[in-house]
Amino acid sequence: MTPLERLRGPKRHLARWAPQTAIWTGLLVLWEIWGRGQSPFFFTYPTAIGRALLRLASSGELGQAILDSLQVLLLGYGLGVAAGVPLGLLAGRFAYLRRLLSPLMMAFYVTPRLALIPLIIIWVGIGFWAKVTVVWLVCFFAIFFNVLHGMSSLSRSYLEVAQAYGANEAQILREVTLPGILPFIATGLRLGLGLALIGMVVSEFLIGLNGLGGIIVYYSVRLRVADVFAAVTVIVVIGTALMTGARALEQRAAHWQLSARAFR
Amino acid sequence: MTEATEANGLAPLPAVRPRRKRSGGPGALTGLSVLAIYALLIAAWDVFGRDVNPYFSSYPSAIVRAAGELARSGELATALLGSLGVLGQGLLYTLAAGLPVGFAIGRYQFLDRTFGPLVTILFVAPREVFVPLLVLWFGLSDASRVIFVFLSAVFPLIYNVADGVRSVNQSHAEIAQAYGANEWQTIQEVTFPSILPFIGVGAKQAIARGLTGLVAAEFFIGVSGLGGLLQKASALYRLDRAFVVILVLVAVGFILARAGDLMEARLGRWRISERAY
Amino acid sequence: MSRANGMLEVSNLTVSFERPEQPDAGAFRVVEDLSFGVAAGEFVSILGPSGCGKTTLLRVIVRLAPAEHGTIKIDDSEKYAPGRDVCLVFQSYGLFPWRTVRENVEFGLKMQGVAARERRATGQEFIDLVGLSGFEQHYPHQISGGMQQRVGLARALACRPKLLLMDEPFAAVDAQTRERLQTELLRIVAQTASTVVFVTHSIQEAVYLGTRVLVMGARPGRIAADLPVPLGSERWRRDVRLERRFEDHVLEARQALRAVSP
Repeated sequence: MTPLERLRGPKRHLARWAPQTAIWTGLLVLWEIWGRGQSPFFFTYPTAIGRALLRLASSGELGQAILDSLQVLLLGYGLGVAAGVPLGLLAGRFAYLRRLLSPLMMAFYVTPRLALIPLIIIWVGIGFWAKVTVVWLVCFFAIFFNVLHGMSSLSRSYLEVAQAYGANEAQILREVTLPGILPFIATGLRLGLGLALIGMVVSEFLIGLNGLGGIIVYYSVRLRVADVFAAVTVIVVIGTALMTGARALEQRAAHWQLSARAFR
Repeated sequence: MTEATEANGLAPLPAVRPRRKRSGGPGALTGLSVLAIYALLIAAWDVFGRDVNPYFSSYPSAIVRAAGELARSGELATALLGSLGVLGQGLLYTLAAGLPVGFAIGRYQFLDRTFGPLVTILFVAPREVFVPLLVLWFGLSDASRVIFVFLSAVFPLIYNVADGVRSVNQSHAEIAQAYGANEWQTIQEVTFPSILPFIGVGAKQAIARGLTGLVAAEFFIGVSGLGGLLQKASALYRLDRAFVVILVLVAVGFILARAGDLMEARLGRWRISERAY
Repeated sequence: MSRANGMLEVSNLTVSFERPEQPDAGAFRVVEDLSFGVAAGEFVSILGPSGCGKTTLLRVIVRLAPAEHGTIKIDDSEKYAPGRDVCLVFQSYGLFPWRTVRENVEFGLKMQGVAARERRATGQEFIDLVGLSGFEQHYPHQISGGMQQRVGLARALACRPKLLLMDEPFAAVDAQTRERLQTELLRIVAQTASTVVFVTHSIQEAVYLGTRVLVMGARPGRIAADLPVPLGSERWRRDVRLERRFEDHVLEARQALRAVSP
């Protein structure tokens, strides 16, 4: 037994992560010391970021920005899900539709959807809905393609079993197709969420500077690097938290795939 | 389930399909009808698109004309070469950094536990938040753009390579050692071939992410390359030109995606044959 | 065998497939002019070499594949309903991995619109019958192959079909499990008074299980021999596999099969 194995419970947990904690603390301290020697218009350090974070939070600026950003994110993402899942199901079910859409799907699949932002600005303007449209656009395709991929990966034999037991089309959809492709839907939802976050930030950079992206641009042109880092930190934390949640949901959705994954 | 059918060695039927009336299956007729529908749509767009306010829309023949203009003036070629240069450099650095870092993180548990979470965070969080900082530090230069492409592309590669190293089948390594392979030979003969498919997947994702990063960089970090040309055109309400650039981006995206697919297929060859069982 | 109370009546059945990889070669005739009947309470084994169209025949009966011509009647009707009048037990189990054992067993009942309470009761009855009590909440990947096929059998029986079709159901399980499952199948079939058509390529299995063995020839598939196996009812109570006359029937079936195999 190693000394580590002899420890139990939280103590063992602490001991296990002690080297990592030490390294990260060391890096932060180094950053602090080195950062203080740099021009504040050019670089910053952890305690300055902490102060900026407190200032942004207490002035209400941060809270408002988070609300603005989440509104755009959730609305655009919700619309992306609402369009991506049913359209993916339809395209997966009807070969002709798939065939008809395939040139367009191919084009959207390989091209960065961000390239359409200038056109969205022309068509939708530079208001709230333009941002929602950008978020919708970037996440819709990830969801759509994953649902479609799920439909094509669903083994034919499941459908045959259902048919042999007299299932009708609606029953097949409810009892076989949807549960069968649930892991793919969940993957699409996770990837779509990651892209929606990108869409949110990019649209706030380009369209009506508000929200967390707006804070970043506002303070970066004023060379207030600590405030920029504060907003970056908030976005990274929110993004990581949302993505971790989505990943957990995805793994739950695929719990019955455990055995299949064993020989993947 | 089909896998189980074939695994137990019984004559499978999948090569022959029941004779059935075709309802939209792949066939020459379907292909032709799809082609006809697109031809009709484009013709209709060309006819009716002329009547729409040109500040909001365009139509095919105007787009073709604009393509001619942009090609003759050399703007398109300059933008395309500029974009490809930035993308190429960014991807080169991605490969140079992503492979060793991914390998190290996958191989040494200590590094994984220390820096793995950071890689995951940078993999999932929107990288675009760093754009203003890059502008601050490196100016509106190609360097900023290359760094951004690199930041966009490198994490998928690191993540996949590390994943590949972690999932090397330990029994394969043991077999190699049982045949007297030393550490270096084991890496060469077992680890490296095992992670090739993961490198393929990572490289494919890196290319796609790099292209998205390129467009974002050209929007935000000085107006340049194809993204810049696109933004200039739409700022002047030249939608015909904007469509030309988008079509060029589609073509570039298509070629890069094909390259990524080929790389993934080639590096993942042994895996595909395993999957067939 | 009396054809009067025929449970299954297959007449002049022809089935063709087209080969997509060589469309000019024309259709490939899998089954040609096939006729046979199964009386209520019979257990008919269909024995044949690989590729003789045994599986295709079952797929056509449950309408997963279309017949070119010929008729199929179950209980004197061509308008039978798969899942209600006839149920198929699949070779590779055909369980839904996202459903628990209980949910898999209740699947056919659910498709028929049976109310939840009744479904639960019927499902439990057949889970108990196949010896899976205690595993109701398990997912297919958590149980062995033999147990998975018990689920497949319970799912089919729970629909109380007039005719039970089984497509090499024990081909994917190990030899010992297979023998145990065969004996249990005989018990279950007797308890539920089922009429069974059982496709296999194992001669011993066909003779042990069947009250009648149909030997199919290949390319195109047709009935080459119809061998009664009078080993008596309640065969599962004593192991007829130890008896000399079992070996005689096996020999007879083997000769019939040899005659049709290339």
